[in-house]
Amino acid sequence: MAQEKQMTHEESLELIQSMINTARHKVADDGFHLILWGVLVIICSLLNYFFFQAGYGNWSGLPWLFMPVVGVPAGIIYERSFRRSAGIRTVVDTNIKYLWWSYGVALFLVLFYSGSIQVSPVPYILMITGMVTFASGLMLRFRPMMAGGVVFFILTLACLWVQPVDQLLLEALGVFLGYIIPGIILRRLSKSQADV
Amino acid sequence: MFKPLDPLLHSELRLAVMSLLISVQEADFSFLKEKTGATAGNLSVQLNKLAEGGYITIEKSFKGNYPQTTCRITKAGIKAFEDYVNALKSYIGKK
Repeated sequence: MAQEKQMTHEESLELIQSMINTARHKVADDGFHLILWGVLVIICSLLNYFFFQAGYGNWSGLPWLFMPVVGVPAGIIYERSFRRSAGIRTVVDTNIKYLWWSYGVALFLVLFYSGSIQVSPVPYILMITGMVTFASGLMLRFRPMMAGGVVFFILTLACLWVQPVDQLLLEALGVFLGYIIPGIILRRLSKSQADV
Repeated sequence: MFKPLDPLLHSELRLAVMSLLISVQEADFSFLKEKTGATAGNLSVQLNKLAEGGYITIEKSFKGNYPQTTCRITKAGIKAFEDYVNALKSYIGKK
């Protein structure tokens, strides 16, 4: 691009329009966190389920304690050192980040509260996960994530007819459909954008 | 009476940079370089002119082991860009 090329007024407007469109259609999320947390939740759900079936009782929920110990440092290390920058950050990206932080707080409260009154946290986790996943999908205009949110909502209702221990299997299924699949699609989309 | 066009914005590369920055919160140097097709040297000079005019801020940091230059548009930059677009519209509308 020439340094001081004289532009006509029409050329100026065309340039503005084309540059705004260039930035607007860029997806900054690369799906890594969806896949990371999806895999961790599936592992913990299944371990919890098998430990309970094996008769470990209250101890069978122990794998969940290790999930943030692995997930939080892995997420931070990836962001700081490995993530290939999309080059831009939009207001939507920032809003989605704040939404997931709020989800983290809500998730902690659900676990604390359900532990205190001795009820299964799974339906409530599925409900708030559905909300945050669906809202993120709407903001990104990314249909696989919106569909993932709907899956979480349906599984929340399905919990009504399922024993608390079997709800863990619904959680693993929900996370596979609602996190892992949209995460893989988002990752492919992000890579194809980067290769253009 | 036509409003004069802001000379800081009425340059192809600087206008392209401002148009990219107006629709995002921040953009890094390599993104601006790729989308404008400018050379690193030229882009760097034009970014500094915009920063000296108070239209953008430039932040240098490190991501892993690599240096990263992040640019953001300022409130003064947004106002100048809007004034520039309005001036352009008045020129084109009265032709």
